[in-house]
Amino acid sequence: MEIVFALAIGVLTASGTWLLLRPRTFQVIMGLALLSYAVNLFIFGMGRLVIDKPSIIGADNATDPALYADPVPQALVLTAIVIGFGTTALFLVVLLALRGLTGTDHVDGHEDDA
Amino acid sequence: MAGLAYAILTRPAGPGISSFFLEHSLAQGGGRNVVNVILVDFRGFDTLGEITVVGIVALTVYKLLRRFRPAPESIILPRPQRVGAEGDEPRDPDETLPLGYMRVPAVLGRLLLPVAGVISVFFLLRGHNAPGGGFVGGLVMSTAFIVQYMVSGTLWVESRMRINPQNWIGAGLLSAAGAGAGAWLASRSFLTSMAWHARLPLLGEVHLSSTLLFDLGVYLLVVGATTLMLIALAHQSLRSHRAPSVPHDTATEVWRSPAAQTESGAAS
Repeated sequence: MEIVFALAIGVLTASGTWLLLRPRTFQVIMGLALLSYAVNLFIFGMGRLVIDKPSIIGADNATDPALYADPVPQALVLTAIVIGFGTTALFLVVLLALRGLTGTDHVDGHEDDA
Repeated sequence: MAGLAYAILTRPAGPGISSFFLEHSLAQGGGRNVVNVILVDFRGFDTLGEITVVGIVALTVYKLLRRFRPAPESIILPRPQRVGAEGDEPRDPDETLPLGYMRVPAVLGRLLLPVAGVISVFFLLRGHNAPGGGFVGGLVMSTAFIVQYMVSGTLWVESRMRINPQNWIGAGLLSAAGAGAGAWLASRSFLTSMAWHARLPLLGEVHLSSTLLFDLGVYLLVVGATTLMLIALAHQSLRSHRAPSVPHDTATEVWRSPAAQTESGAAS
């Protein structure tokens, strides 16, 4: 399971970086979104992948850390997801305004002549 | 990146600060869902700042897209007059409803709204002790709103629904900050949580805590912010329908004054 998870992070990072360097604004937004998914998965993976150990304290009130998944990365990644969502929305609207003002979706605001 | 992730994943976790949270979640936070307790209690100030950021982003999105809106005089007019005056829109919002087999998702989406509302409140209320929480509940609720826009069209929804997402954002922030300030009344520091177990008739044992108010604030703000952003984007499609042939360089001027739009249309 770890190798699939790590490969998914790698693929998301690679495609995100490639899209981020493309000249069209929509590709830049998609690249940013993919990159933030990769980072979120990476943060989430820092708690190690465990199965059937939700970080919810059971009825016996046991607090042994080995019984539960690490709650700290989960809480941090929830914050990161929300902030990433806000950033993407703001960036999307700024680029929409750019599209409306310049009439092109090139990131430089004008098409390349070459 | 993949190699780095794999290298970390295959090594055992060192001793971190998570054992502190696991040990103190029930004793000091009063909740069994450790992730939720971290968010609304131990790191409550961080979450308060975070929902403030989301609210600001939503209002910025709204204001930036508002620049492309029609002039205020055309907004103040009642919708039937405005629609009749423009002449290129159906007079009755019901006419914009999809016909034929596309009615099936429209009806299903409408039935989904009350169900999603109940589920989101359920998530909100159980969030402290079981999977759930304000963020999840808020997202479920705003998804239900957006589904209405998607299946029934912007005009139809706006003619029936009058929710004001800006008010939801304000109420959410006030509720979250009020939950934090309420701890002062009990001479504790800001955002200290308090939990009570009350026994109500009919309902049985009820778990109450001040973090529920904080989570309610998160819920309201997430609903308001998400809906405001997506509605602002939905209005973009409405506007491009109204004047599809406006050239780009004059677009900003034309959106500010519909009179100029008709003049330029008549001139061309």
